[in-house]
Amino acid sequence: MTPLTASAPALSSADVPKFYTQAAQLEKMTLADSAPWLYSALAQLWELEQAGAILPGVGDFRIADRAAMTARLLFSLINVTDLPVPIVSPVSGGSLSIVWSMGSKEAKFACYPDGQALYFRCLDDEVLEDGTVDFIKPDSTRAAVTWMAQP
Amino acid sequence: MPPSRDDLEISDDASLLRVLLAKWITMKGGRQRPTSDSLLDTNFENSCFVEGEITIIEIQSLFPGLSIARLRAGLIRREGFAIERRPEEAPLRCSNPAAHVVIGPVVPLDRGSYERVARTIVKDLSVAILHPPAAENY
Repeated sequence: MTPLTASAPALSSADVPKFYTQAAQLEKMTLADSAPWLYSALAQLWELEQAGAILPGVGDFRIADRAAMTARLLFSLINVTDLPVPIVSPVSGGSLSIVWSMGSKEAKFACYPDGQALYFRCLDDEVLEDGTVDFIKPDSTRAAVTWMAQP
Repeated sequence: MPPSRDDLEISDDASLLRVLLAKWITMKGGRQRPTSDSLLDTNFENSCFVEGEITIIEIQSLFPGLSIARLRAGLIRREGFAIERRPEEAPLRCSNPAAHVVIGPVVPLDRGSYERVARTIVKDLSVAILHPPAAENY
């Protein structure tokens, strides 16, 4: 039955030990510290979202919300620390791409306005393999970058 | 919308000029080329200008600081893209809106195939990048 009046919350915000919130912050700092590429990737994405505009004669560079959300989800699942900084680029029509390059290998992810993401494994500038990123299987999201980082 | 027709009065020998964002230029095999992202408009309509119908100087003045890729129309068509005039989508200050075209597949491709076609085009050795005048290069 829906209560007619609000009762006092079981815990007021003052009762929540600060330790838990601090621990969460520390956890994030640790992640960023161990994956130095993450700061740059997130900063590039944020800049693209802020700068997004229609440029007649070139394209529509307003990043779709779902494309940006997909990119952030992707970043959070790629817990490979030893990676170079990726290049995050706008694609006309609301999409964006994320490209990691090491030597002759390249791992590219394309994030689309409908929330879909594709990966591309490239060697010597040729696409070897592409496929849909399956966010239900985190291992599959990082497979392309893991392949790229192998000597 | 993808091109609905191929405007064949634009000959295969004509050159199309694609304005490049700074992030759309990469170095591969010691050569600068556009990235495939420059030809991957989500709606299959990549804006270009027909060289000769508008001057490079005018495009550089419309888009100061940006580089331009020169693509042969024949190359575009060889890879299955069509070229359609879209004067109504030209920049406002463009002196000849009819010079504005969009290129892309007439029938939408799956995304993997689209990437491969775009990559094949930008990798072609005939594709050149024209950089903006040094004073405006930032």
